Amino acid sequence: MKWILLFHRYILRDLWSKPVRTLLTISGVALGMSVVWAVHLSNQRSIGSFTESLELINGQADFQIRGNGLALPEDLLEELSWLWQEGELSAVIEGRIKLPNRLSVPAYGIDLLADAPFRRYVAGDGREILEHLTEADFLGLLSQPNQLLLPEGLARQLGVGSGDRIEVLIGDRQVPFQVGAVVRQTGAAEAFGGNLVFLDIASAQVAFERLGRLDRIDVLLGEGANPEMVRRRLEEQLPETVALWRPQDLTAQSRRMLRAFRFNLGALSYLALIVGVILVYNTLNIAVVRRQSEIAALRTLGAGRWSIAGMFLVEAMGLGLAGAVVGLLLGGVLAQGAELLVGRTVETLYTGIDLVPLERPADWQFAAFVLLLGTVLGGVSGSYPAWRATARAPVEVLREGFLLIPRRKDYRWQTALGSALLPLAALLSLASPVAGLPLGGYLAALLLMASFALLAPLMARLILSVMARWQSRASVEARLALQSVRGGLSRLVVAMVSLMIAVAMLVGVASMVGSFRQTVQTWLDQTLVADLYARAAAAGSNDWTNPMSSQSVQKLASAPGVEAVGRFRGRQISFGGLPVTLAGGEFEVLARYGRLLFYDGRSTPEVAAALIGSRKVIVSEPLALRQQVAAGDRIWLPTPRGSLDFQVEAVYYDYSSDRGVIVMDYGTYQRLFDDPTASSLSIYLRSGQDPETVRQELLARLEGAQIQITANRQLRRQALRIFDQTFQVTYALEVIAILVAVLGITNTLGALILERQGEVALLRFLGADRRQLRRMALFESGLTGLLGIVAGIALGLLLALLLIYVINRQSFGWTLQPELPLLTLAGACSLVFLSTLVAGFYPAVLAATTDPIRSLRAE
Amino acid sequence: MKPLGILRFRLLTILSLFCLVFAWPEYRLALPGYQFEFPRDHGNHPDFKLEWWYFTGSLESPEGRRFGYELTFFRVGLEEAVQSASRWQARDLYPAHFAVSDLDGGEFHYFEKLNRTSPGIAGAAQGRLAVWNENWSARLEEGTIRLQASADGVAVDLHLAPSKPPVIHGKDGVSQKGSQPGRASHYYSFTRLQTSGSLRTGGRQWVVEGLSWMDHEFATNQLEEGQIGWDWFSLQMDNEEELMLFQIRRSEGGVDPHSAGTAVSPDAAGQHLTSREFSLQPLESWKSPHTGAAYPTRWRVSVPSLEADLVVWALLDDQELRTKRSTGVVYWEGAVEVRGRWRGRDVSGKGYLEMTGYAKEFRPRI
Repeated sequence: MKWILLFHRYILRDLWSKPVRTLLTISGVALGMSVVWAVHLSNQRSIGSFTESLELINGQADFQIRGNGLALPEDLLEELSWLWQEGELSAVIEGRIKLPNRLSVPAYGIDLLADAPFRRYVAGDGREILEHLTEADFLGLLSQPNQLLLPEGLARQLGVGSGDRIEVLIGDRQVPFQVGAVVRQTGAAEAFGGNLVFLDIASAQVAFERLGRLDRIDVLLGEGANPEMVRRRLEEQLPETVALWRPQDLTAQSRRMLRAFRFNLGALSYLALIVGVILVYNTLNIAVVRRQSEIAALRTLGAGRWSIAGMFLVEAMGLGLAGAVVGLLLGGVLAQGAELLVGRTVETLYTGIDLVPLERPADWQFAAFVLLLGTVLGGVSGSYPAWRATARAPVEVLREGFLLIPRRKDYRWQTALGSALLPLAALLSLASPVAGLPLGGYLAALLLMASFALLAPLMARLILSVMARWQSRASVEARLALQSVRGGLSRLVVAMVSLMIAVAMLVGVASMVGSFRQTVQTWLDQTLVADLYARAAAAGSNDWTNPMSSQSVQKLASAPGVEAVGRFRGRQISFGGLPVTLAGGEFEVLARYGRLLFYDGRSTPEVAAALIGSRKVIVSEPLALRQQVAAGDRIWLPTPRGSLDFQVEAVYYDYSSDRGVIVMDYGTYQRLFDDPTASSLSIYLRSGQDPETVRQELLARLEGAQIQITANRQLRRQALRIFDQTFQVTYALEVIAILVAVLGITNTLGALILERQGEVALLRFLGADRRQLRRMALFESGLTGLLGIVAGIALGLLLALLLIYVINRQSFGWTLQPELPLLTLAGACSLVFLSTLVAGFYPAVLAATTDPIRSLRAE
Repeated sequence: MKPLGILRFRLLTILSLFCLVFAWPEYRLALPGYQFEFPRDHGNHPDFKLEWWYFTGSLESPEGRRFGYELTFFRVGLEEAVQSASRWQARDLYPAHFAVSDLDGGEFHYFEKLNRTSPGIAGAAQGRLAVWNENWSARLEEGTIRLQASADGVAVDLHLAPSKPPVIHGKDGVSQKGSQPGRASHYYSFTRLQTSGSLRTGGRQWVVEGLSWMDHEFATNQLEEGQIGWDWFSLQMDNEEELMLFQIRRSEGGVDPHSAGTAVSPDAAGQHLTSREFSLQPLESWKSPHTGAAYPTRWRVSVPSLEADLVVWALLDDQELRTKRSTGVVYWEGAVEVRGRWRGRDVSGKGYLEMTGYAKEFRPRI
C-alpha cells in the first residue's frame, strides 16, 4: 500500500507532469507495436484467406486425386470403381475466367449431384441449394449448358441476377453464360471472398476445352474405410504423375510457397519495434539520471532498494503496455491499408487470385501476445535504468551530486562486447537457410545492430572530437551545442542509437530494393527484346489455365510485318513440394531474336542449340537456389508419357517471380504434351515496322479472338510498376521506423533541455538571447541527428549487404547486383536530418522560454 | 408399374413443367403392339423417358435368419435437346434405392443415390442387362444376374438365376395405366429368381438363399390426373405360382379401373388380370412415427378366377423409405408373408409390397 502511494507520488505524478515526453514515449512504442499488429493482421487476413479458401474449396474431402500439371483422363473413374466401396467421389474441373468487370476468378466445374457431401452451396434464402431450388431451376442448372452459379456479392458487383446473361472470357474466347443461380456466400462460395464461380462439370469440360478430362477427383471416405489401405491401393494403381493430396498437403504447399514472404514481412515489422523499445529505455534512463539525487534522498528516508528499482521497472512496463494498447488500436487502422498492399503483393507474386481479406473475429491470442510483448519489452528496456537507479550508494550520490557521464570503464566493456559481436555476425551470415528461411541472416542483422548500438558512444566520441578541432571556426551557439552534446552524450547516445537503427533500416532496405530494381531493369533491358507480347485476354497473373488457341497463334505469326513469333506454354506443376512452372519455350526463335542471361555466361544460341530436339531443360535461378538444382543435374518431370528425366542444361536469371520455372524446348513440349496452345507469344517485327501500327493490324486480324497485345515499352513499364507495387509494404514499414526514431530525438532533446534549465538560465544571465538559445538547441538536435545518420548509414550499408547476399537470396533465390541508390539515400537522409531539426524545435522553444530567475532559484 | 408411384410426384410435375417451357423432346410413348425381344429389352431404352430395374427378394440364412432386400435403379430422361460433347452432360438422371430388412432382427436400413450418366459413375448398357450407380450394380452374365450393393456396412452380393423366363405384363405389349393412348408402360418381370449369395448387416456377414423378383419397366408419360398412389404386390407362392397385382387409388376415392395384375403359372404362362378380377382389402394399418402416414400392413387379397383367397402381412412394420436425397418421395416397400387358399389348397409364400401416396407430399427436390 505504501509502495503504491509512493509509486503514485513519485512515478505517476512525474509522468503526468511531463505529458509531452510521456506521450512521445508511448507513441514510439505504439507505432512499433501497431506495425507488428498490422502486419500480423494483414498477413493473417490476406494470406490466411488464400489457404482458408483452399480449405473451403477442398470441402470435406479426405484427399484429392490430381494429375501433376496434367488433367486426369475421365476414364480413370471407371478404373477406380472399387473406390465407391470406400466412400464418395466427386469429379472437378478447375479453371479461371475473366468476368465482365475484368476480375479474373477461379471457376469450378462440379457435378452438382455428386458434390453435395463435399461442399455446401446455400441458395439466396438460406436453404441448401439442392433442397431449395425448384425442380425446374435445378434441372436447368444440370441440363442446360453454360449456367453459372454466382455468389451473392459477385452477382451484386456485376449487377446480374438469376437468369441474366453474362459474357465471360476463357482463354482467347468470349463465351456467353447465363446466371443459373445466385448462392449465398457461405460454404464453398465463401472461398476467395466470394470471388469465384461454379458451373456444371459438363459445361466446364466444354468451356475449358477439357473434354474427356478431369482436373481432380475428390474422395470422401466412408466411416468404415481404412484411409491408409485406400491410399496404398490408389498409389499402386495410379500412374506416378498422379498424386494423392490430403487437404493439409495442399494448404501446406501454399504455406510453404508464401512462407519466405510472410517471414520477411514479419521480421521487418519487428525491426520497427526495436526502435520503439529503445525509446522506453531512453525515457527511463533520462528519468533515472535526472532524479538520482531524489532517489538518494528517498533511500536515506528508508525506501528499500528493490522498491525503488521496482517502481522504475513498473513504470517501464506500464509505458510498454500503454504503447501496446495504443498500438493495437492504431494497428487496426494501419491494417486496412496494409491488407491491401499485402494482398496485392501476394496476388501478383504468387496466387494470381484477387485475395479478399477474410472477415474474421479479432485474433485475441495475438492481441494478448502484443500486450504481453509490450509489457515485457518495456520491462526489459527499463531494467538497466532501474538497476542503475539504485546502483550507487545514496551517500555517494548526495555528496557528488549529478553524475552526467558514466565512468569510462562502463564504455570499455560496451566497446569490447560491441567489437566481439561483429565477427559473430559475419559468421552467422554465412549460415545456410533453416527450412528455407534466412534465420542466420536475420540473426546477423540483429547482432550487427546490437554491436553498432554498443559501439555508438565510441563512434560518437570519435566524430565529436574530430568536430571539436574545428570548433574555433564555428559560432558560439554551435560551440555550446557541441560542448553540450559531448557532455550529455550518455543520454543522447540512446536517441542517436534509435535514429541510427531507423536510418540503417532505411538505408539497408532502400539499397536492397534499389539494387533489386536496377537488377530487374537491366535484366528487362537485356531479355525483354521482342517488339510485341501477346497473351489471352482471360489470363490473370500467374495463371496458366488460359492459353491462346493455335489458330490465334497462327494468325499472329502469319501476319505481314511479323518476322517471327516465339511461343511459350507454361503449366503449374508441383516440384519438390512447391508449385513451379513447367514450360515449353521456342528456343529456335529465342536464339535468333531473343536473349536469356545464363549463370555460366553462355550465349543464348549456344544453350538453345543444346536444348532443341533433346530432353534437356533450363531452370530459373530461384528454383536452382531454393531447390538446389544445378546445371548437369537430372530432374524428373511429369509428362503425359509418365515421369521422365531431363538434364538441366543451364540456369538462367529470372526476376519475374520467385516461383521456379523449368523450360524445355517448345518442340519437345509439344511432342510430349500434344498441346499446340501458347500461354504467351513474343512477337518480333520485320525491321522498319512501327510496333503500334502492327499491333493494331494484329488486333484487327484476330477477328474476335480475345487477345491482349502489349508493346515492349509498355510491358517494361508494367513490370516495373508491379515491382514498385510489391515493395510498397516495405516502404511503409520504413517510414514508420523513421517516424519512431524522430519521436525519439524530440523526446531526448526535450528531456535534456528540461534537465539543463539551470544551465540555460545561466546562459541567459550571461547574455544569451532567446534566439541564440533556440539556435543552440537546434544545433544540438541537428548534431545528434547527424551522429545518428552517419552511424546509421554505416550500419545500413552492412545491412544492405546482408539483405542482398543472404536474406533475399536465401528467401527468394535472386542474385542482385548491388547498387547504391545514392540519390534516394541522399534524399532520404536529408529528410531525416530535417525531421531531426524539426524534432529539435520543441526543445528549442522550451529552451527559449525558460524563465531564468525561477530556474536559477530552483537550482 | 410400381415405381411410377415413387416417381410420379416429382417427375411428372417436373416433366410437365418442362413440357410447358421447352419443346417436349421426342420421347416414344408406350403403345400397343410393342414386340419384346430379349436380351435387347433387358437393356436401356433411352428413347423412353422413364425406366427402372427393380429387384426385391426374400432371403434366409442357414441359421434361419430371414431378410428382405430391395435394389432399384431408375433412369429419368431429361431434356434431350441439349447437344454437348461432354460425357457428363446430364441427359438422364439415375436415382437408386437400396434397402435391407433384417426381419428377425427387426431392423430396416435404406440408402439412396442420385447421379447423372457419367463415366464410371452411373449408366445402363443398351442391348443387355447391365445397370450401375456408383458401387451398386445389376448385370446379367451367362444366365445369372449378379446384384451388388453396399452402403455404410450394409451390403448384398447375390446371384439371381431365373427359373422362369420373363413374363410380359398387360396386353399387346403394354401395361395400360390411363385411358388415353400412351398412358402406359412396357413392363415385364422375372417372377422367380433363385437367389444365393451373401448379405451384410449389423456388423455380420450372412450366407443367404431365397427368391427374388425383378421388374423392368419403361415408359414416357403414363399417369393421369387424379391418380394419387398405389398398392403393388409381388407374391411368390410355394405352389410355383406367382401373382403381381397393383391398384391405383384415385383422389376422389376408390380404385382406378386401370388397376391390373398378372398371374404366372408354374409353366411360366402369364394370365392378365383386370381390376374387376381381383380385390385388395386393407385389414390393419401401421402409423409411421417418422411421417405420420398410416400404411395398411395386413391385406386380404382375393382373385376369384384363381380361387385364391389370401392374407398378406408385413414381416416388419417399419419398412418406410424417405428418399430425401434422390427422389424426394416417401413410400413403404417391404417384405411380406402370404398364406391362404389357392384352388382349394393351403398355400403360403413370400413377397414384396409397395405402397405409395400415403404420406403427405413433401417438397420434391428434383
